[in-house]
Amino acid sequence: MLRGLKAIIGWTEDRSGMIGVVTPIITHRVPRNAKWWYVFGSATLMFFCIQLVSGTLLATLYAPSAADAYQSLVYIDTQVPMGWMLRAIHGWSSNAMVLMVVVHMLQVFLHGAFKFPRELTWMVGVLLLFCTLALAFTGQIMRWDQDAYWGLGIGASIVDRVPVLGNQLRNIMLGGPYIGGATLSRFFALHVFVLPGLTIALVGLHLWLILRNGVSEMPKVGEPVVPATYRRDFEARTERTGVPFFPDAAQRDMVFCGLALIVVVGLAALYGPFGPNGNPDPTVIDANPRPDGAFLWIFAALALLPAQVETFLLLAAPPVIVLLLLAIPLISPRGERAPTRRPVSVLAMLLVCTALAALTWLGVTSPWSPVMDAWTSVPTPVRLVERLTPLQMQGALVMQYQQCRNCHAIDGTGGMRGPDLGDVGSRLSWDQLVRQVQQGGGNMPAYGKTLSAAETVAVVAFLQACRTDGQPPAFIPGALERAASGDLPPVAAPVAAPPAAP
Amino acid sequence: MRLVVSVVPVAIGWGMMLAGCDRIPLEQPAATDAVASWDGLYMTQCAGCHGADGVRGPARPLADPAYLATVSREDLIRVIARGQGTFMPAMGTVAGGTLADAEIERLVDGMRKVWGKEGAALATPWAGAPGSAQAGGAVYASFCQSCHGAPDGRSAGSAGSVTDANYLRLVSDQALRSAVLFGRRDLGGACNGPYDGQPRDRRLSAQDVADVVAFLASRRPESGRSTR
Ligand code: HEC
Ligand code: HEC
Ligand code: HEC
Repeated sequence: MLRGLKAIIGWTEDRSGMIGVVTPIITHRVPRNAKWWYVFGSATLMFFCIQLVSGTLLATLYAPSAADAYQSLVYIDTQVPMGWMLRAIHGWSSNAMVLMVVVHMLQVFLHGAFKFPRELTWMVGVLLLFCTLALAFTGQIMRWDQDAYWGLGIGASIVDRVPVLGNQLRNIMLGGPYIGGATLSRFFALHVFVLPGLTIALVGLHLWLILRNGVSEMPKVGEPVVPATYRRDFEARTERTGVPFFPDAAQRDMVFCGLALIVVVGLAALYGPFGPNGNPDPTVIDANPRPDGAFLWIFAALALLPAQVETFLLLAAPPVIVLLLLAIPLISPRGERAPTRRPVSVLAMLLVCTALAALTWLGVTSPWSPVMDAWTSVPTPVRLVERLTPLQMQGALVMQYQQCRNCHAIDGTGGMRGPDLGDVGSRLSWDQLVRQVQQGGGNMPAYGKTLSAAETVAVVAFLQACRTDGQPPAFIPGALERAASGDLPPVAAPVAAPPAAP
Repeated sequence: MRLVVSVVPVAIGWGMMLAGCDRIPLEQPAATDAVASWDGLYMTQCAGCHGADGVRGPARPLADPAYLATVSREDLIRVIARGQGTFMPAMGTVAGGTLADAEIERLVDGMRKVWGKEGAALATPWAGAPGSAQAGGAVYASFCQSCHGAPDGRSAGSAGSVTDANYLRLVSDQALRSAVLFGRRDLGGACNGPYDGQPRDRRLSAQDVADVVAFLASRRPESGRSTR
């Protein structure tokens, strides 16, 4: 029996040579002092594998169409045996993966492990960080609930700000001017095909580079990296004092991964799956959804940035951040690795960490400027009500009912997320108002699909009436103005309905 | 030199963070759960649309003694809990809102007691089936046109059009009926009389009311009401 097995293995090995390739890999020598610090990378990999398995299972149950997505999640949660657990593990393990990537990066940065000859390993790692974040973002879209809608709305409005190309990019991202069925299909393809494929390839490259260059030792004060001699010294040292990766170092990885796994499964069992939150109808916009944990800081930064620099920073910051991260090993490829000898790097890292932590915390706790009950509690100013036509009055009701007031003050009362609309009628023309309401932009969700044609006409008629006394309505000379002036005494303007949303 | 170059940006970063600390909004808005009195409920749940103090909001005034005396308690509770399929939302937990049955009852009783005091019920009931649109056209011409303008838009009235197609698509027949029965007195809207060029005590009969509502409803476009 045993001999038969041996024969089969021997036969396969003779033809494939697999064992010959793999054995040196898993028993390669790693520095002896590579202790618990080094477990985070393995944990990330483990969580990625969990994502692959649980994600594949989910893909067999999930219906990636706008009409059915939400229902299929409810179905998985309630009808499929242990389906909720599957979703919970996929969700929690995704968060754990993001966390582990970040901790792993911090450790590598802190110990200067990105220096010669491991620069490329770091760069691939940076790409993996963004792949992981992209997976988390697109995964949140799969829930196809209000949070997903919100994430997309913000994303689209950021893309929208790109000069000249903004509109096209938005159409590419959403599969049309609005968030709809095409959007979900697009993000589904990204989430289950493109990004996992890319990630697997990059993980392979990352591992290959690690094997080629070895695992770095714990940094020692007074042992700077000198590229000319580093390779030789490193190899000699590991040859002398190193231990085989398997079983010595792998043991620690396994213990840590096991513990991490227990924690994640425990959290999943205790707190269950994420969402789906809120109405399945993506045309219902709730002004208070929050993005998933990893993106809360962006949400907070968006809310805190002063409006004047928002666009600039939103467009300039991402490329700068990516390039900076990629360039770190090029900026400092040699020299001391010990944190105590790199005070500036360590301080900068602490700065980034505290900033991210503070922003995330703010994202969790702050009400921001939306006032959540403004739609039922903050009245339309009487000075306006007194001169509105019945149609404009319905427009004021749209503002309440659709919770625009949670973000928009009128004459100083209401939410402060968007501009005060008390005099918007003298700033924006009819067509500009229609555009803003239907397409949103600049952190305002698009209402094109949410509002009927009559509601759009009513709300725009109301917005046009939002002026201080004596101010004429905004008017673009030469442009076709569809609404007559609403000066006192109010005259019901013959307003043509704007083209209905497709 | 190198040290200075690298320390300065980091120092600036930390400085900016410390300086920004006091500008970060941390306060949570006061919790509204504690509100229990009927006027507290009104202020947080209804004032946005029906106006502070129950008048002069975009939706019809509720602080109207005649109105509160005419509508039955049950109808009020039903409308508040279930909404009207228009911008009047379903506020009751039964229909996905946030107000418990007991809260709605407390609100209705408070409104009726404080705002409904001394109100005399109208002879014409609050609700009723629409009448004849054709007869309603005549009622409109003699009682409403002076303020709301001609239905064909040829003459505009000071109170704005109520025959506008978009307007009509957004309101329920009940809202039209309530407007005719009780007017918008908070905005000087004497839709229920006295009327220009008519005897001062001339009031619309129940039939007139049903007819003019049918007339307005008949002016809604084919596509019908844009319901929620
Ligand atoms: C989530 C918060 C939010 C909601 C809800 C919201 N808006 Fe906005 N709105 C904004 C922001 C932020 C801006 C600023 C956009 C910019 O900077 O380009 C804005 C801009 C506007 C503007 C242009 C104002 C100006 O002075 O340029 C109008 C008009 C407007 N919104 C109307 C509405 C209407 C009508 C609704 C409801 C149907 C609504 N908004 C709902 C956040 C919101
Ligand atoms: C988002 C705006 C909004 C809010 C908030 C709101 N209402 Fe209304 N309400 C309306 C509108 C609009 C109508 C007229 C609807 C229709 O029939 O077309 C209405 C109608 C009503 C009516 C019936 C009026 C009639 O036609 O006889 C009652 C009663 C009423 N509301 C009570 C309340 C109370 C009480 C609250 C608070 C718990 C409240 N509403 C909150 C918008 C609102
Ligand atoms: C004396 C002038 C006057 C007369 C006559 C009058 N109304 Fe009005 N009506 C008003 C005013 C003022 C308003 C409130 C203005 C506004 O909504 O912009 C109003 C509001 C309305 C509204 C809108 C209520 C709302 O909030 O949506 C309707 C519907 C209405 N009237 C119907 C009628 C009908 C039907 C008649 C005839 C039976 C009539 N009115 C007669 C002055 C008048």
